[in-house]
Amino acid sequence: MLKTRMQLLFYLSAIGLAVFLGIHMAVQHLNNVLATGDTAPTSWLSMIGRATQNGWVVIYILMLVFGLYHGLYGLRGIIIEMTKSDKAINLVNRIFIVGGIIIFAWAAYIPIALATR
Amino acid sequence: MPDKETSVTFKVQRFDPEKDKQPRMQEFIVPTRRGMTILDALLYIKENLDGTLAFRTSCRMGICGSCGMYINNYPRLACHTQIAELESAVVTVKPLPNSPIIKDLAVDLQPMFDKHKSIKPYIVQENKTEESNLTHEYVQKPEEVEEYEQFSYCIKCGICVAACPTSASDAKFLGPQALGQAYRYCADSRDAGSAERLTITESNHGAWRCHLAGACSEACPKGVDPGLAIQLLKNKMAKQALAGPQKNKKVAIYPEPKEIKPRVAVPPFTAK
Repeated sequence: MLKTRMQLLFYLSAIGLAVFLGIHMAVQHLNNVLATGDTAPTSWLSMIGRATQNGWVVIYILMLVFGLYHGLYGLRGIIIEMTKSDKAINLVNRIFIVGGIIIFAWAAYIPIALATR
Repeated sequence: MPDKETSVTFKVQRFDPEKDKQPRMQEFIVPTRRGMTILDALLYIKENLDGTLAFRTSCRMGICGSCGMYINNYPRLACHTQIAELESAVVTVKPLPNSPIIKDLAVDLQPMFDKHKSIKPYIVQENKTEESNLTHEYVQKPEEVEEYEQFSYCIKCGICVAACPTSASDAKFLGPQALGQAYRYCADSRDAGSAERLTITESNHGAWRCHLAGACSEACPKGVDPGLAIQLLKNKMAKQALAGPQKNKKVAIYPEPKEIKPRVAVPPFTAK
């Protein structure tokens, strides 16, 4: 039941995305409404400050995982719906797995490098 | 709305793969009467106007599922659709979409039947010899029958497949008919084949490709609601993926009769 588990992860990642995008909105764009205390949350200094905190690094990486998985798995679903050949579907799967890992490694490097500098 | 004395123009799609390159529309004027169905009109055309018109029909009462057609741009049973209910002076009749055309209004439903067969549309028994040679009678409670009863009314007319947007874009998609029937058998308390059936329905072109448009449920002439069946099937698949194969409760078997009761005697003939 691998495909079903992957589909459930697809739904789970959507919930995760909603949660983390909610945090992002609350901290960066609704600071006046929610009175988060930070007067300029979108300034460079404020963002670098958050990026050096471990909690935020975890949030950024989880958001990346959820966003990448949800986006790539959704796109794969659209492509395989249009694909008749099983060989082509296998090729699409491989491209998405390899592409996803490369994008993740590249994008995860930035918050990790910022946190450890 | 056509009255007793009026006529209706029928635009019928014609296509003979041996002669035509493209389908074309042909017009017929059909005199209508109260209660006349689209099938009655097609039979009138065949008997009086053009005997070469090809379409499939059998029971004329919405049971056999033969006369599914695309009537006024919506999939319907021709025998189950009265001309009056369309409230139109022009009626277009085309073959069901998402299936190859054999001739005129007759489509090849073999792909749908192949998909239907692939999901094992029968009670799978743990004991395989019991499957072909039943030795017991099973007891089902009314609430156990209710679990699948609605979905067992499918007449395999192909209307849900014609209405389905995923079937239109993905020819390999199992389709609402097969997936609905997969749930019908998985929900049957006598069945022991859920695990293998759910493995089939989770394929690349299986239940997870359903976008829940609901067009199948809206179009189904028997009220089967295949859209609901697919959602319940997804629920079963999720449970199996997370907690392993879910077995139905062991269904009770009627005990072997210990004695044979003598037949009640025929009452004496009283009339003289």
